[in-house]
Amino acid sequence: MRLSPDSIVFFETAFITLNGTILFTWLVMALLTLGSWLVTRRLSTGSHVPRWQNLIEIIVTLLLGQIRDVTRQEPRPFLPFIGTLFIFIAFCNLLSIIPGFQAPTGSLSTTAGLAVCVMVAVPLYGIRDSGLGGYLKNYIRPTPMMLPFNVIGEISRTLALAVRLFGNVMSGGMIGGILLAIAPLIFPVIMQMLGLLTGIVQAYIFAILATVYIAAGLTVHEEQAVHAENCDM
Amino acid sequence: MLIDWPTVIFQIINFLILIALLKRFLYGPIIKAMDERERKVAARLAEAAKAEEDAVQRVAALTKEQEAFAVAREERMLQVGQEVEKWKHDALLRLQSEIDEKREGWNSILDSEQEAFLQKLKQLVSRNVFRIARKALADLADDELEARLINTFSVKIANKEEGIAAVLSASAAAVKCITGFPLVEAQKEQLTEVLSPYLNDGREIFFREENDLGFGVRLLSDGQKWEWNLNRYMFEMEADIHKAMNTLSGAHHEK
Repeated sequence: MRLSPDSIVFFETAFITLNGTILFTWLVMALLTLGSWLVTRRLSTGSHVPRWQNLIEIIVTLLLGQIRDVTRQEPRPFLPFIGTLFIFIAFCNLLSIIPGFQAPTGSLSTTAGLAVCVMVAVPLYGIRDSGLGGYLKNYIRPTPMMLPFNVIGEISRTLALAVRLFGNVMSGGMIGGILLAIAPLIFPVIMQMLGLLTGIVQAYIFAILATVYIAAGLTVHEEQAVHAENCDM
Repeated sequence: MLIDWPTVIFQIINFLILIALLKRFLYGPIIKAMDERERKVAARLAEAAKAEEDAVQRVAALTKEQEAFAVAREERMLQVGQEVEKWKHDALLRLQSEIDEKREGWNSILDSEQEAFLQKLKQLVSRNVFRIARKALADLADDELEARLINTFSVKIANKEEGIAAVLSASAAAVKCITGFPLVEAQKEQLTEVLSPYLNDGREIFFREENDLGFGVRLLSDGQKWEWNLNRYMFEMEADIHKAMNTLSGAHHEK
């Protein structure tokens, strides 16, 4: 039993290995791009909205609402990153229902890459929001003694982010395989349906946690602004 | 090892590329379309708000116009009522005046008719009275009265009263003696005897009876006439009475 699509190797040279994770990721990327192009090539701005455009608008509106609720800021700058995280993970998890398709999110390499992206995006958004100094000061709050713990917390939450998604997706596939061996009728179908639900939930959890981590840096900035205003008074 | 670091790097790059692709083909157009729709909705809402505001203003203006119209209508109704009252009053006065004029005219005509009727009635009554009187006298005229008339007539001829002389002196060939009653021979002879002194030679006396003459005698000779009869007195008396009645009615009418 394969634990990860990384082990599916299609092409290998001395420097580059084209495994199943990358290939299925490309496939998902192609489908998402093609689907996006098909939906958005003829957009309606009137009262009549095509069904696919309606679906996309619902998803985008929900994402914007969730981001606004968490960050309490204008959500549009965060939409490409957070939205892509959610859509990519959810689409990978949904496509896992197709026989033969190995979800790239079932690879720890993919989830680790996404977690690294989040780990990098958090300081980038924080620095863009409050400057490099202002962001770095977060690591020595409330006292400089907290610096190691803050750094460890940053790394650990990134690791948790990666492992959580990988573990859930991988376990879902494993459970399906095991049940298929034990009880090949009905139960695998139920578990697959449950897998669809958990796939969406995992995508939501990953995206919302990334938003929370990003918002944490922004929230400090807001608190600082409020604190500075109180001091001025 | 579950983590393949080259794959991690590939996936990071893939994810960044996917962000760029979706931003280009998904988020950008969708956000733009949503903004455009929101702008249109906002424009329509603004239009609706403006239309509502216009409607409110229009309602206010219409209400004001309606109130002004109601006030004007009240004033107009009051004015019309006053005009109607004035017209009615004038019409009543005019009608009263016309009625008075007509009544006066009718009264005048009625008075004239009444007067004419009374006048006519009086004339008719007097005429009938005298006609009855004449008839009564003619009926009462018997032989004795006729004899007395002939005697009186003979006395008048003998006395040569004015008028008789003019008749008898005319050079007529004949003298006609007309009576309203029949003469007996004795009476004819009496008359011939009293007239004979006035008659030239060859002149004759003719006697004739005419009932229209009534109780009287008429002498005719060569266009000259002398007459005495009771009817003539009665006619003269009737004429005098009519004349007196006319004089009295004229004096009454002038009052």
